Amino acid sequence: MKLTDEMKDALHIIGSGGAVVHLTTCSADGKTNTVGERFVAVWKDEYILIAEMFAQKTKANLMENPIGVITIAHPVKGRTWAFRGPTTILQEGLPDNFEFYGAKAKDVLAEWGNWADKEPPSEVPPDIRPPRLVQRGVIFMKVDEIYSYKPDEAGKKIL
Amino acid sequence: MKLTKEMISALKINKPDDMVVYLTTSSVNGNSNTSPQFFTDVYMDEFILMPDLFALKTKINLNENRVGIVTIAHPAEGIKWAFKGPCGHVEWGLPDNYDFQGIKAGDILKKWGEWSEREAFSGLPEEIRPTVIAQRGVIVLKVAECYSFDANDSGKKIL
Amino acid sequence: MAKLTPRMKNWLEGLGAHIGTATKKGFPTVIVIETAKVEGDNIVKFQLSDAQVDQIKQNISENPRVSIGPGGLGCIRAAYQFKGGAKLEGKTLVVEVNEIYCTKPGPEAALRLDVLPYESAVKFESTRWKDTGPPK
Repeated sequence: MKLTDEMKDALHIIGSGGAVVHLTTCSADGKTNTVGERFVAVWKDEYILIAEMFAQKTKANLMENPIGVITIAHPVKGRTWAFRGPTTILQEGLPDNFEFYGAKAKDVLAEWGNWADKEPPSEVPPDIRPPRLVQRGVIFMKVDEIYSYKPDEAGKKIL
Repeated sequence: MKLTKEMISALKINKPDDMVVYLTTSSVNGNSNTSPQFFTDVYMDEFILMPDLFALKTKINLNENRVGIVTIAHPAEGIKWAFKGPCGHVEWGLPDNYDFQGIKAGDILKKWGEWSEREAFSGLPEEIRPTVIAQRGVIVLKVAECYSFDANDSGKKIL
Repeated sequence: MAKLTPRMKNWLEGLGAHIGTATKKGFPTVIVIETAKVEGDNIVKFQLSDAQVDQIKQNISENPRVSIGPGGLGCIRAAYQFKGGAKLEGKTLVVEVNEIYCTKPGPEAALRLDVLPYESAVKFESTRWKDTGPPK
């Protein structure tokens, strides 16, 4: 499923004109976890990536239940979108040929394995700027489904 | 509680370092987690230090329940010790004067925040050596109790 | 028992939340509500549309556990996550919060706040955030 240009525009870090998102994952028995994420990007029109820096429960959940939902958090600007699909963590150290839904970990990490160099978080206010960016990999979603979270049409398929 | 010279000698950085310990923590409702730790050192004769490299459920537990037990895993012959006490993680980004059980984050991070400067990770067997080292901080256990895990006198206080 | 601080309450009531739900086998669905009402120490109520009720009622009936991330600017400035048990009373989603986490990126990410004495949790946030709620 290809994302639209408007969606791709929204799914960048704020300093690049994008939005902060919430990432929701859950344990295998359904205990959910919802956290804000600001280092977001799109890969090859159909995958969404998030820098893996401080994930704990997100990571524990994805290790046992590789699916997630990404919702546009702020600024929303009418972009009431929820993206859902298989989600994993591509970590440095995976075999070169490791694939996740058609994407090679090696290719993704070559481009996004060092987020701080590629897109320094210079726009982040000091009180919420991570003190030290220690990235291990990327959280990686293959978008399978996009639905609206607008109250009067919540759940309506967009793509 | 001060450790004996023999304990300190076993737990401090040695070359070559073949000592492996387990760190056991627990969620606040009693779900325990036991993970191997390949690197340890001792600070002020009563704190056991371990680099935070890949801690996941350990950190989730310590974020809600600051207690831990270090047990000697290998080689344990004749030194079947379990060290129990307040346990926390001193992460990069904490203020230098952040205090955990009487020690300051700045002192710990300055000396052990880049563990590889003190002890080469290349000492690990290749098959378990991390490809990318991304140290987030230092796990600290203040020893309050030491007991034996020898089958014949398991639980017997040593210190 | 978890107890929300005034700052937590102000952000939730001001800008609502993204609410994570899931089937008992772990298939997630998120709804987003723009406002909330906090009652007592740890009850948060959200008014849902018919579409939102339809979207999550099956999940809530089989698995009442939900996660809550503050909405809008709160995702940045109100770095908390709330977890608890939810039930639907008509079109009102009533959540009893029993876990509160700090989600500020950095050394205290994922720190559980509801296990601290309430005064310590208030002190914790007052030394990290200057505001007491969303901008007017």
